[in-house]
Amino acid sequence: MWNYIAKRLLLISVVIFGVTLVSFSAMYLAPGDPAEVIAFARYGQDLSAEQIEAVREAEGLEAPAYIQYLNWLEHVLHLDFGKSLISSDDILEEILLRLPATAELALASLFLSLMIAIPAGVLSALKQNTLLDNACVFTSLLGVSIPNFWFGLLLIWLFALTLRILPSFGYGSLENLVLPALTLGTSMAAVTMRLTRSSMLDVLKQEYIVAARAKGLDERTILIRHALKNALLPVLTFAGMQLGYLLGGTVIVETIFAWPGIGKLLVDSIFARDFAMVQGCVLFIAVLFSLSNLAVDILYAVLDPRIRYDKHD
Amino acid sequence: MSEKKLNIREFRKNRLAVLGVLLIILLSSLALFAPFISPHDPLEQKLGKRLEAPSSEYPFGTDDLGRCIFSRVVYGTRVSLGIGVLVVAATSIAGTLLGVLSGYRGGLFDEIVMRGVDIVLAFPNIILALVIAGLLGSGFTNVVLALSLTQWPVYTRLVRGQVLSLKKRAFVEAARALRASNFYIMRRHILPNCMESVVVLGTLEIAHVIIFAAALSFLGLGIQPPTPEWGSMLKAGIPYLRSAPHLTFFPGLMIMLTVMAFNFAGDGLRDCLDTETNREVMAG
Amino acid sequence: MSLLSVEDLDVSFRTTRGPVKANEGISLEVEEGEILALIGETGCGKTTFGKAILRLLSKNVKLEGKIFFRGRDLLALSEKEMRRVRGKEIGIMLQNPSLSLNPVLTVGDQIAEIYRWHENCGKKEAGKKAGEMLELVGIAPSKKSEYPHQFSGGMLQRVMVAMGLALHPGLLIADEPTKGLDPQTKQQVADLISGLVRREGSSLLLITHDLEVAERVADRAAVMYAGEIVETGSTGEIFSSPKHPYTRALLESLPGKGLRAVPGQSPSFVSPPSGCRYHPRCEFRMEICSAIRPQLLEIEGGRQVRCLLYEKDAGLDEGQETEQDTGQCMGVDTGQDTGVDTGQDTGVDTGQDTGVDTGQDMGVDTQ
Repeated sequence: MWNYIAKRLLLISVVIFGVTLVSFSAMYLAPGDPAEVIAFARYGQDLSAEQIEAVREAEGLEAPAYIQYLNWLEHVLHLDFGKSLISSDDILEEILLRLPATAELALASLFLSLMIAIPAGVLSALKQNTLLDNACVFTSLLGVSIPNFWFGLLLIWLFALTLRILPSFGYGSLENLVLPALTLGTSMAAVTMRLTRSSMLDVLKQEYIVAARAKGLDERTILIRHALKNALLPVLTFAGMQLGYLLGGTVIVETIFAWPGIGKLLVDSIFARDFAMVQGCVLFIAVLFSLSNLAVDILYAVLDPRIRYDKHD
Repeated sequence: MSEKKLNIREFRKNRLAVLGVLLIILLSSLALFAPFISPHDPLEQKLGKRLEAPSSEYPFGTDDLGRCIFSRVVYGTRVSLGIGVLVVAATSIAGTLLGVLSGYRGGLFDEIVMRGVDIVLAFPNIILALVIAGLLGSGFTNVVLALSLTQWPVYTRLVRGQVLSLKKRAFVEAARALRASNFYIMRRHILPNCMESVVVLGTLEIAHVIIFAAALSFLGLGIQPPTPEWGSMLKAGIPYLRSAPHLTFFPGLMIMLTVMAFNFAGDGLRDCLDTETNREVMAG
Repeated sequence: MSLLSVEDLDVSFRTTRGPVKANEGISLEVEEGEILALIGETGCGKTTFGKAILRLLSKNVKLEGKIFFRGRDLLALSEKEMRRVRGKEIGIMLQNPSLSLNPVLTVGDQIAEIYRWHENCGKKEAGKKAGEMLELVGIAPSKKSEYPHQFSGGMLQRVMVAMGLALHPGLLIADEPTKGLDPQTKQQVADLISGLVRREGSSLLLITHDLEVAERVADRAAVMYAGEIVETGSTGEIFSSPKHPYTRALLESLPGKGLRAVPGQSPSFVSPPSGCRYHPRCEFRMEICSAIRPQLLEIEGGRQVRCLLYEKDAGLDEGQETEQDTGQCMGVDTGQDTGVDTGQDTGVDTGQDTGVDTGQDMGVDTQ
């Protein structure tokens, strides 16, 4: 198992390094003269050429690309992501300030999604080809195809504007969390349900299920003791993909519901042309994603005895 | 070695898949014959007829600038399908070729390509596309470019996996023994065997790309008004969500139907493949 | 009363191509303390039969006939009652131990759960018993906390034995327990199973395609072909004087006896050959063989054969003879002397005489 984990760690390091390169390019390739942008933010409208040049020198913006990259990387490793081009706030600080909101949304959505998808997937597989199964499959096909931004708007229209029982935007109470979490969670649930179902169907065909029946065990015991763990392992591996969807989805959902998270920060920064902030957000999100994937991989290694205990010779 | 022949018969049995294909044909017709199908000019503004509910004259009603929503939705098909097809064509070709080369040659080249794949995939899809679109600006070509840069890795990964297992198969060994050139082997033996799963992945990817493109436009990047695009139409409808929900309803419905069509068709194709290729496409 | 008595069992599957009969008209008996080998080539339906006894087949299967175990018809039991039979009164070792064991549970857990389920044992006690069973089959009890992938093929087979015999059932069904093992391990496993079974006084239904193992271990044998029983008898008799042409061909395919492969291919279950199912591959086939399906008939010595070559000889033909008597003189001489002198003057001297007079009347009237 440790072999496996060590390999994953090495891989992740290389990937994260590449991520920093890409993130840096976001800022470097941005249109416009960064010195000008910073100067404008600092001194306002009437800029003189000297002011711009002064900024350029101070920020080291005349150095060749790779020097700038290394400088930036060094700062990043010391957890200094730089300052916002617009507000001059510390970038990392701003991101961390918004992390709890995004985390709250992500976790709530994930929880909701699993609560819906796994029982539905299992039941659907057990009662294959019945009305329940067909309904679940069709609903999940719908769920996979529905754009979450449209779904969010529909939910707002129904619950906030027509029924008026939930707020359409804002942050703070549980009420505020419901619609955003529902939006993000149900689309995820559709994908997870399909996966759980097919995984379960696969498992139920296996010989060890017949063997369990041959011992005289009843269906319920077979399901819980033998089938579930095997069926849910593949779902776990796809959790990685889900996390990506989750993080990406927060961008849209936070924008619709004015949820003060990292996703909204990213979108706002793009429109504000604050590419330093964009760079910081993108780096943060990508690293977060990579580390979560690593965590999932480790979890999987621990749970699957075939990896945990390498085959003896 | 072509299992595609069997597929068509299996495919027909799958009602959802057939429905998907029919829908795709319908949507393509809408795109092709948009000028004949739309009752009005999608760009024509009639400020005296703003925010009208659906009627016989305006089947989907009018938007905040008095434009016929139905016409805009129909013309929007061109944009979405256009982006979908272009991006998938570009990425599938590039990604597949890269995957074949990478898998077949192995070694350092393979390692580098796979790390490239990993790095691009380390960014949640839409976030990378968002940033690239943000850098490039809005517009059709920029959207196509942004999405192409983010979507190619899935093909590379899929194809490379297939190539690795194909390399070990007997007929490749035989070709090598006959001193066939590497290029020949790749062209005649390896590539054709990967095509089926690439087609399946491509179909499903069209659905993804259409949603992403709409999402980008919805956020304010991507395609912007006055060009009719479903995502930006959704965005425009938000201020009127309570008073005139039809602005948001119909474009969103179109997105859903289009995506469903490609998902059904893609799923149907995938179910026709044998189980081994099945699992890899699912992972892709 | 026999321990297990199967009467005219039909097992058919509903498939998209129509109903497929995997087993037809199976009648078989296993006595107390007896080891019966069910022999046949891969795909002939013997695994299906083994699973059918415990009703472990899939939902789209139809079972007709009767399966009496200790006097009770298993096919008439409710699912709940059947669960009490499984594992406890009848144990089964399924094929392919690497697939029949759950990869995410320890080997010990998978044995222990039998005790916890049937005997309501606590976790610790069941674990102890599992360790004892492992020891009985020659595996160190400490290995009970390991996972299936950590065991070798031979060891996994022993685990299957432990699971099958855990509750000391009256009958153990072993499905291909020696498949895929090297010759030495084969013998060890075969001896282990038969040894343990005899010690308990239980019976064993050994399903195998391995004739040598069957010969080594079994008291009686039944030969299956294309879903039907074609011959039964004591192991000694069957191996020394096989009656059915298929049995003969099987024996000739053994390394020690000629290594001649059985000609032709296994028949399809969807559209089996007309008449006798073996006739397309049979070296003794006659014209009537493609028209008439032979019944399983008793011939002397408590043996049974399903073959038209022995029709006239059958004592207990249960009034079915009229079907087989075509009233025609077939006049077919296959040109091959079966090595048996019929004692009748056939009037046709083929000129080949192997000179073996078994003194039995083959019942083939070539006039």
